[in-house]
Amino acid sequence: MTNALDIPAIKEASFEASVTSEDKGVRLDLRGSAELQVSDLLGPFLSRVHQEALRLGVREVTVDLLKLEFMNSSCFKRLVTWLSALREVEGQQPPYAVRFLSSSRVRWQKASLQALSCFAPGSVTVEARDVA
Amino acid sequence: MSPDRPPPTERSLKHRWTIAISGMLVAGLAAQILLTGGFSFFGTWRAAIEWLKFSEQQASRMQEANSIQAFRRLGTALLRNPLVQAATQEPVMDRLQSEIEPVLEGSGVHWTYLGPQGQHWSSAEHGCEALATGWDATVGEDSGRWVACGQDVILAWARPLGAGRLVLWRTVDAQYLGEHKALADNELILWAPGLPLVPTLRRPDGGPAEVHLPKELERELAEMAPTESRCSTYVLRVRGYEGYRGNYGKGEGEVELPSYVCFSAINPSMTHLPHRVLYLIPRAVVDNSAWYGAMTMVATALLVLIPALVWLAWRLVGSAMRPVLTLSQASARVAKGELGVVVQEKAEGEVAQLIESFNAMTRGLEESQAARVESERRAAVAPLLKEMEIAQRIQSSILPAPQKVPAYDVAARMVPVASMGGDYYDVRPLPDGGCWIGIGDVAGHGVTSGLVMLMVQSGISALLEHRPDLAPHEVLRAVNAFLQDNIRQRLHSDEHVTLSLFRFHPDGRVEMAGAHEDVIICRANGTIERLETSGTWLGAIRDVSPFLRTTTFRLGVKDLLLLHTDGATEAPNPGRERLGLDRIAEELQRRAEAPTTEIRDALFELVLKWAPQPEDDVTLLVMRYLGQEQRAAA
Repeated sequence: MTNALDIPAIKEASFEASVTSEDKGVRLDLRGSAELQVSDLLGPFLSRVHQEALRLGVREVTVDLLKLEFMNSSCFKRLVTWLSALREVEGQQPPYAVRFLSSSRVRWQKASLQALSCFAPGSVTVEARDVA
Repeated sequence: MSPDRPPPTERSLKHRWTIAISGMLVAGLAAQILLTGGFSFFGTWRAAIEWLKFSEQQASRMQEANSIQAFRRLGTALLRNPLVQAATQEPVMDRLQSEIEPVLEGSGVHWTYLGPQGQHWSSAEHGCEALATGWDATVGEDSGRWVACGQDVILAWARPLGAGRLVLWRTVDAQYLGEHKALADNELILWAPGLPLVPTLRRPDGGPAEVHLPKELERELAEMAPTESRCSTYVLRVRGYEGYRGNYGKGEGEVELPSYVCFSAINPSMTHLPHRVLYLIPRAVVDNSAWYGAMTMVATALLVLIPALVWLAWRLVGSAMRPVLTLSQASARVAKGELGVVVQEKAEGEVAQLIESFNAMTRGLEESQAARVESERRAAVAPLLKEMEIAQRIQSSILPAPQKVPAYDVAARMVPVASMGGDYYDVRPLPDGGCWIGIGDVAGHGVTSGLVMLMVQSGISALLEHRPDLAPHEVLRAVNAFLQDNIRQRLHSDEHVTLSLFRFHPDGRVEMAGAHEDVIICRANGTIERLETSGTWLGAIRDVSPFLRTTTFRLGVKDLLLLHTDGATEAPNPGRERLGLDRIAEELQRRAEAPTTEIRDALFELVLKWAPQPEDDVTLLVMRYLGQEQRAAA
């Protein structure tokens, strides 16, 4: 499937990732369980998201993790790479903000996203929601 | 088969065999047609004669029965007519005539009344004295008979009516023959010596055709016994003949009409008259029938049987040749490099043996090929495996040997996976009885992760060797600086490290910095505490100072502390369910009284039982605070 941003969605047996446009910018939905083998798909996917966000000049990219049950460290590494690329974009300010939507009931999300938010403190925020 | 010639395709082989078998079948069919057609043609004459004889018998039997029936129907109608009844009680010819003739009108049947006083009344135009004789002596209720009336032949039927007898009769004439012909399904000719012929052959205008019998036939008819029947072939001459049933022999003027002819007495009981009925079929009818029959067979064969035979041959050949064709195709596939082809066609005899031999050959080829591929694969990956082995050896070799820490009882182990997960832990005892402990995990797998882990270990060791007084977050900040440079700038890679560094003091105080997995504390009273680590990961950004800080907590005597990597908590069972930290903490709580080595082993057993084949390195470190007294004793 190709969304409006021309970024093919990831549809694996236990993991799905898709991108949609919204008023503020772009929205990423990650669902299921991001195992080790997903990391090879997730890297190019996030790279495309970054390029499209730059091309479109969006102000914010929302990453919805509310339905993400598990993420392997190799997949987290892809997020780190993405945010590192965001930091390295020339300019005084990062070109867009990244807002993570996490579930406050999922412990690993809280700890990992807190560490992740340090990579781009001005532009990465974590919004915890009380969702099962 | 020449090695350069491509194997015959299924279609070409099948075509050849189908053409061969079809040819044989069609040839057989053609021979059959010729024989059958020949027999049919040459047997036609005898068949025609049999046909004539049969027709004669059938017609004779049916004609008589039908005539009697016709008379009976008419007689019954007359008997039931009260006027006829009254007329016979007091017979008056005019009255009888006026009552009977309307009933018989158009039937071809005439009447004669034989009264008790010798009356012999008949319809106006017809009369036959012969009808008056013999009835009283031979006739009961009613009876039919053939009567000779001058030159005519009469079929008569009599029954009592009133005081006398009523005889209904008809002349055997063209009308009679027409009815007889319909029954016999043949052309008929009534013949008697010296009388004009009465034929059923018609002219186009409906009148009787003019027929001349050959002299030989006239002679034969005259000489034959009255009751005799026979058949022969003659050429009749006919003028104005329309043709048999309008289909054959049309001609103008007189034509010769070769025919099959059977002749017999008009009725077997009528031996006193020389009349004969000739049953005839023009030979053209029979011959054409035979010709059309043969042609019909040929046409049927051409249109139906031959395609059916070809189809049958195609199927037969397909069925018989399939195993051979399959073998041929399989051989072609093998020639193209598809060595594992197995032919599963069912066959018998030599073909079955051939298939078995072929399958054995392909099995051997496939095994040989697989062995060769495996050998090549091993040769290809050998350097990589060697590299991995070296990296793994380094990773294992730099793990700390069991260290004696006076104030703490420490038991740790790392179980690496084949792909090298990048787990790290280190224990560095300090002269004051405490120690430094680091535990971490390089995000990602493979040799690069192992190398990064080596950098972490080397960096921390070097720093602590030189500046053991540094706070944990200061150590991490320094390590991060060179780590980020090495990973991002030199390796041009994107690894990062989750790492927590602990400074254990001999008094039970613990300083901690760096983001890694939660720390589990099992207090001496059995209470479980879960401490979150804070900060950020190392190696991704240049300056982590703003995010790192050292926090402190305290252990009491006999308190247990568990450090781990995500390989333990995220170990999946076959149903992909994660083990989770809660199960590990419960096991720790259950084994709290045991020695740390035993607890460590029990926790590993728990992990490996949950996930017999871990997907990531698993590191577990269990330590118990022994207290100041223990330190003093040490």
